[in-house]
Formats: sequence, structure tokens, C-alpha cells
Amino acid sequence: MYPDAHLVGCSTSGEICGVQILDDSIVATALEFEDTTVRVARSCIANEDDSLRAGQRLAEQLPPEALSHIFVLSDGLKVNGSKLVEGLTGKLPDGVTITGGLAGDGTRFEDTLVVDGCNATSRIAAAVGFYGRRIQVGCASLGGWDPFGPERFITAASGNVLYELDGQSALALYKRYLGEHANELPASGLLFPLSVRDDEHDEPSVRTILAIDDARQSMTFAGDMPVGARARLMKANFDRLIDGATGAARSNFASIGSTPPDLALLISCVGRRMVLKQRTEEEVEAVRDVLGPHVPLAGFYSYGEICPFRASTRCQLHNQTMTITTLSER
Amino acid sequence: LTVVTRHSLLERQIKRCLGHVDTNAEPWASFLAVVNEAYYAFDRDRAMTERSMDLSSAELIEANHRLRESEERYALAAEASNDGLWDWKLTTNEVYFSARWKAILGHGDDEISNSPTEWLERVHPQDRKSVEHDIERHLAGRSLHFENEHRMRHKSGSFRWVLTRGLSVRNAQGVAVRFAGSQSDITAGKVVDALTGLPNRMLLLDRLARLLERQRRQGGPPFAVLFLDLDAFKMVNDSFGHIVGDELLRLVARRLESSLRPNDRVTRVVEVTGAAGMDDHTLARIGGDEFIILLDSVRDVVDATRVAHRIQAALSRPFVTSGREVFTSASIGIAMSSSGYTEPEEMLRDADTAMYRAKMGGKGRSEAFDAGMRVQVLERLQLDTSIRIGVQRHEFFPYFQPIVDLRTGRLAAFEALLRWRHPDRGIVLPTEFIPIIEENGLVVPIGSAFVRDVCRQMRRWLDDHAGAGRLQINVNFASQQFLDPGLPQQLLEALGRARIAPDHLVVEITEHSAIRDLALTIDVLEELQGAGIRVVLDDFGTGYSSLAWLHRLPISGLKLDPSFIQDDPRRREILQAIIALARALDLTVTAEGIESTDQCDRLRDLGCDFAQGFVFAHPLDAEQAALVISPDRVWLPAAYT
Repeated sequence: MYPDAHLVGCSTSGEICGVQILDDSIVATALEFEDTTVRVARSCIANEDDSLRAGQRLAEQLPPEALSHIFVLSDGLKVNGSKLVEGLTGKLPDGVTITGGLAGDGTRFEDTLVVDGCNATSRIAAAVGFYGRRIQVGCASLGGWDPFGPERFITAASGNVLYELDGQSALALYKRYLGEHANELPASGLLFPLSVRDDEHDEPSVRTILAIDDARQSMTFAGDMPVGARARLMKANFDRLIDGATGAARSNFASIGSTPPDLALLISCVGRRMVLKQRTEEEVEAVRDVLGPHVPLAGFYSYGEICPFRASTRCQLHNQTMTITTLSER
Repeated sequence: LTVVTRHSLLERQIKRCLGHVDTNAEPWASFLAVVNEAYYAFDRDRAMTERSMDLSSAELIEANHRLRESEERYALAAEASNDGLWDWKLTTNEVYFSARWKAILGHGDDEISNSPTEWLERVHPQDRKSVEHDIERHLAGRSLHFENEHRMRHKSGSFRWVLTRGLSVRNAQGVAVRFAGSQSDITAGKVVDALTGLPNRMLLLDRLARLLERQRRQGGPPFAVLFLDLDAFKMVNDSFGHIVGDELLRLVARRLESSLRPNDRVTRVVEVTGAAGMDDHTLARIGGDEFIILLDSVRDVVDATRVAHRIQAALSRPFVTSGREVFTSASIGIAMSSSGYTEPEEMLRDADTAMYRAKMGGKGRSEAFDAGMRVQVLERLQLDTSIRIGVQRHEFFPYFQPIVDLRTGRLAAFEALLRWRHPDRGIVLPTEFIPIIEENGLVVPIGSAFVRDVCRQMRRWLDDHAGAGRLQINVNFASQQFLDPGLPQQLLEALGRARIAPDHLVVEITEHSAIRDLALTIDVLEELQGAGIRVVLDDFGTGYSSLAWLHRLPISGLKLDPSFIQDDPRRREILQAIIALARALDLTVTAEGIESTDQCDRLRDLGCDFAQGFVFAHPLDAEQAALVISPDRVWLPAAYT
């Protein structure tokens, strides 16, 4: 049907189509622009340590001239998302925004795929560059999780692998908090994301678990675990998560001047879906309530979201958020 | 998620409201399944939340408990250490000062605010720059710790010495946000000499300044400064070690105290930090082996000299340390306040000069300062400097005086004698510089170089002169060299390097040096003997001669003091007895200072083996000496041979 189209997509932990949430389906969104041109870049991610370079390789394939925005989809497991984003942003001119997400695999955490043209493979990342003056992009991201309990120091970690908090095994701590749900790890670990900040005055990032290793007593997170940083467990309830989605939509709407956009791409974290369960649709509905009934919604549940904290700040990897990218041509 | 059983609440609700309906049929079954699942989900979430709250509250309680314990431990430690504490929040510029911090400065807890100026403005003006500099350095990350000793103004207006230590806490950007540490009162340590417990230089200068000021304003009787320096203390340290040296200093301090009592009362440390009476005398140690006695209300210099003599008499008795007797003496210089000093340092300097003059005159003496001394001392210091330069420029070298065998009339040995070729003054005799190098310790390196030079010279002669085959060289050693247990090894190395057999070398040691530490001397001599190096006892008969220990020394000969050579019947008899004694002990006898052939006759008749003196030759340089090495050369009239 669309012989000249660039095809980009990924596996998910649930598809968003309108206000519906589906499993084991394919949701396709076709975008056509009057003036905006599109380029697609792709890169392998050889291993987690290659993440930074992979981000740089993506950026190198996108000429900076007239580049307005990048939408990126990446393998969700074999990657250090923080590094990928760092590599990407480091090579871009100021003013270019990035949004996107890490592919999901239900709640299995085994294998994720990224679609690039006619191939769907793991260990790759694909980025779509939007060029032109008329494209208007809004982005916002919000969680709604609350930190609780004592603040702990990361005392042993390497990259995105965490070993110890306050000199104690981090995995043992999670198991204690999960109680009978400990055997559902790593999925059940999504119920307790980690709030991580370098310093007491920094804005914390939220990090979720991708994998555990009982033998090494380690936990792999979707982003960096710097030794010396401060961490707190987080929890959420339905209302706070749905408030988070509403907040993300409002903030997005504010960033594009309150005119309804032509399309909203929603990337929300699988951890939210696990808490919200039957009420997951409510967070999508909350977004629609803000953006209005005529804005087409599409998206997926992911293993990580990519978005700037605020319009003015650099793009970062998030976890456990609802991230909204709106597109319009003016 | 499959839920087999229905939630109890749902079951009850069905019974109450849907009793008549078949809930296992559609659409009820699907509907209730979803509701049932939601009920369980709520329960699980609530249970999980409660569990988390319980666990985290238990964790927080425990953390709180640990914190309280650590706070208690910290508070106890702080109290026990007697240190003041301070904690400067750099973000708000507020400082917490502990009650003890304030008490050190004489203030109550509510008398000092939490402003940093409370600290900085109390720092002594002379110390402020250094304190501010060190704080800045530390906060800028250029020092790991902040540590500064400075004076702080006490509430009474006086100053206390404090040691302040601190450490900063930095944020992720490396900027210091908090700076905390301790303050210790070190006033007592600052004014007291740790080794002896006596007042130190700082307190002495303070005391002296106050006495001078009183004198200037009120007049009154003069006072004296006695500058006391132990003689050859360096040698005690070098030969017995610092532990014995330190112990000797403590014993000297105690002896000085008691010798100054009861007529000259002494201020002890206990009274030091309080307001000591100005009439008291002060005994202080100002470094090394230097003690100062501040004698208040002495009538005149005669009075002060009398005290100096009493002190020297007290120090002349032996000290017992580590089971051995150590003898010492002190040189004392006296300066009188009647000379009109304004600065304490000037008075101390003049007393030092007088002490130096006393030391130049010999050991165990005292001198009162007069203006002429400064010139002499200056000259002496210049000499000291040129000796040091001379050592670097290799201006020291040997002369050789022949020693003749009285039986054969032929050359038996040379005595190697140290000479200094000064670039301006020409050859300088040892009497002028030996006392200085013995005092400043240069005798050891000069001595080692000397032995090497002599051995090299001997090697040349052995190579060039067939007649040198049985030639010996006598070398003198000072007691400082002799107290070095490494001496035998050093000699063997020098010999080995020049490829000379040990029996070519004869070591000369004076009687006086030998008895300084008899046990050690015997050890070294035995080692030399074992290595094949012979030893003769020099200046024998100069007052220390004791038959009791002579037989214990492993020596091969005696050298008679020249005074024995004078021709009078009494001495002749003594000489006869000494030679008989030497025969009995199997020792050779060498006579020194022989000026005439008559003397040679007499000595030979008495059985003396060797002789040296102007009758044969003055000391010769190496070239001249080479000319007289010949087995055929006969030094005595034919009648003797």
C-alpha cells in the first residue's frame, strides 16, 4: 500500500491504538507530510558497551542541516539506554529534540525486536530524523511514582549492573520487599523502580530492572547505576500513575501552544501496565482527555522511554513514565 | 492470570444480591471473573504496599538507632578528647562551635554566636594570614586536610596556642559545602620542652622579654643569662645512640635543677603556664644540648660566674644511663643585663658567643661576654666555613715523618700527619684546625679520606721502591672515629682498594681516647688485631696511665709522651720503669720529639725500640718522603749500627 514508505517499528509489551490497549497485535501508523522530509538511520548494538558508539553512529547518519527532531526505537534488553542517548545527543546540534523508546517483550524480558524496513531483528536501533521548518514537535514525560524508605548509596555497580546498596546485596533487598513475588523477578521488580540521583540537589532519574543474576547477586537496570549515587525505592498506586499521564499530556500541550496536534505517539512503561492492570486504559484515556477527542493516538508499552526532562534540557532515558511525542505540520 | 476461587468478598456480595442467578452462566461468569481478578489485584497491591511500609519503617528505625548510637559515641569521644569542635555550613555561612571550643577561649556557651568571624577575628594578627591561606587552600581542594597552629585571643586578653584541624565535604561538582573539625589547646606543649619538661625557647624568650622590659622601666638589680652547652654531646649521641643521648639530657636537666636549688629557685613546668613569679629563676632547654639559665637578681658578673662554676662542678660527676657511666662537661657563656639590652634575642646571642669562646678555650669552662669576643667568634666561624670548603676541595692531605729503628739505624715507618693546604694561607698546622673538626664532627669524613690518601701513597711507594717492602705507616685516629664500630671494616676496605697488606698499617690512638669508652675500645682493637692491623697507644704517660687496664688492651706498642725525653734523673727512672713494663707486656716502645743524638744514645741504652723527631727529619711531603725510602740509608752515626 505504501511502496515508498520508510518502515520503522518494534516489539512491545502492549500496543496502544486509540484508547485501546492490545496484546499480540500490530499497530501501524502512516505519516504523510506536506513539507517535512524524513530520513532513517540504523545501527547495530554489538553489546551493552557498544551503546554509546551506537548512539553516535545513528547521529552521524543524520545530516544536521534543517534537522528538527529525532524519533528513536532501540532493542530493549541488549543495550545501556543511558549510553545510547548520551551518544546520540553528544553528536547533535542544540535545539534538536529526541524522543522514543526501548522495545518490549511482554513481561518476559527475553528478546526484543526493532523493525527497520523489511527486517525485524534484535541488537539494533533505528532513528527517524524529521527535517524542515514546518514540523512542530511537542514532548513530555511524567511518572507519578513516589520514593519511599531510606535513601541508600550505590556502593557496588558497573555500568548499568547494580550489585550493592549501602554495602548490602541489592538483589536480596528487592527479594525481601517483594516477598512472595520474588520468584516473579525480573518482572515483579518493576513494582519497585529505583529513583537515582548523583547528588542531593539533582533531579532524580527513575530506573527499572531488566534482568537479575542470582549467581552474581546482580541486577541489570535500563540505565546507568553510578557508584556513589543515591538511590531510593519507589512505589505507585493507580491514581498517582494516572495523574502522571495527565501531567505528561498537559505539559506536552503547553509546549506546543495548546493547539491540538495532528498525531500523538504514546510510549509508556511496562511497569505502569503491571500496576494498572485492568485500569491501564485509563491512563491513555487521561491523555486523550487533555489532548482532545480528535487527536489520533498510537504507541506502545516499552522497556524504557526517551525524552528531555523539560523542553529546555537535554534528552534522557526514563523508566516508568508515560512519554508523549506530538507531531504537527504548521 | 487464572483465578480459580472467588474472592470471599465477591462470594458474599453474590450471595446477597444475586442469589437467584446462575453466576456460572454468561454473561455473569465473564463479568464476575474480571471483577474477581480486580479484587485480588487490589488485595495484592495493598498487601505489597503494607509490606513495603513495614519493612521500610523497620529499616528506618534501625538506621535511626544506629545514628543515635554513633551520635552518642561521637559525643563521648568529643568530650573525652577535650577538644573543641566546629562545624561550618558553607552554604549558609553558619558555624556550630561546641561548648568546649568556647571554653578553651574562656567563654561561656552563650557568649559566642554562630558566625565564622567569631573564629577568624580571634586569631592573633600575626597568624591570621596563614590561617586564612590554609583555609582557602583546603576549600579550593589544594590540600587534603586543613591543619594550622595559631594563637587565639582568650577572654582574658591573653593568647592561647591552638591546633585546628578540619576536613571539608564536597558536592558532586567538587565544591566544598561543609567544613568541620576540632580545636585543641596546645599552649602547654608550645612552651614546654617535651624531652625534659623544662620551659622551651619560646617561653624563655617571653620571660626574658618581660625581665628586660621590667629592667627598662623600673631599673633594679641586674640579671644574667647563662648559656650552657654540653661538650662533645654529639659524640655521646653518635656512639651510644639517641636513646642514651636523650636520657643524658634528661639527667642533665634534673642535675641542673637541683644544683640551682635552694638558693637559686627554679621554675618548673607546673608553674610555667600560670602566672609565674618574676623573681624566680628560669631553667630552659632551647634545643639540642643547649640549656639556658636565667638568673634573676645576681649582683654582678662575679656572682653569675660563681653559679656557673657550681653548675659545672655538679655536672662533673658521672651520669649513669643504661647501666653505663657517662662523663660530660659543659661550656657556659654569661651575658649580663647591665649591658643594656632591649631585645631578648640579642642577650641570648651574646651569651651564646661567650659560650662559644669558652668552648674554644677548652672544655668545661665559662666566660662572660665582652664586646671583643664577637670578633674572635666571627673569625672562628670563618675558619669553620673555610674548613668545610677545604674538605670539598680536597685541601687536606698527609705529611710523613720518619720513624727510625734504634737498633738498625734504618727507616722503620712513617707517621702520617694531617695537613691543610689553605689557598691563601699556605700550609695550616693541625693545632689550629683539629679542635674545630673534632667539635663540628668533620673529623670523621676528613679522617676517612686521610686513610684512603695514605693507603694510595703507600701503594705508589711499594710500586716504585724496592726498599719500601717492610715500610709501615702510622695513622692517628681521633676518639670520635674510634667510637665508630665500622672503623675496622672501613680500614680494611681502604687497604683492600690499594692492595696493601694490613701489617703495613699501624693505628695510633691516644690514651685519652682509649679510656673514653674502654669496653668499646677493646672490642674495636680486638677486631683490628684480628684483621692483622697493629695498634699503638699514643701520648702514653700523660696523666691517664693506669696499669690496671693497660694489659687488657690488645695493643702492640706504646708511644711515649715527649715530656719523658727530657734529661733529668727522676724522669729517667720513670722512663726505665715504663720500658721494663712494656717489655714485660711484650710491647714495643717508640720515643717522640727526639732532637739530639745524645737523646738517641740514652734511649737506645734504656732499650727503647724506635724514635722519631727533628734529629732525623721534620714531617715531609710525599715527594720528599719518597727520597728517603731506601734500605741502605742509615739515619744514625755509624757507631750505632
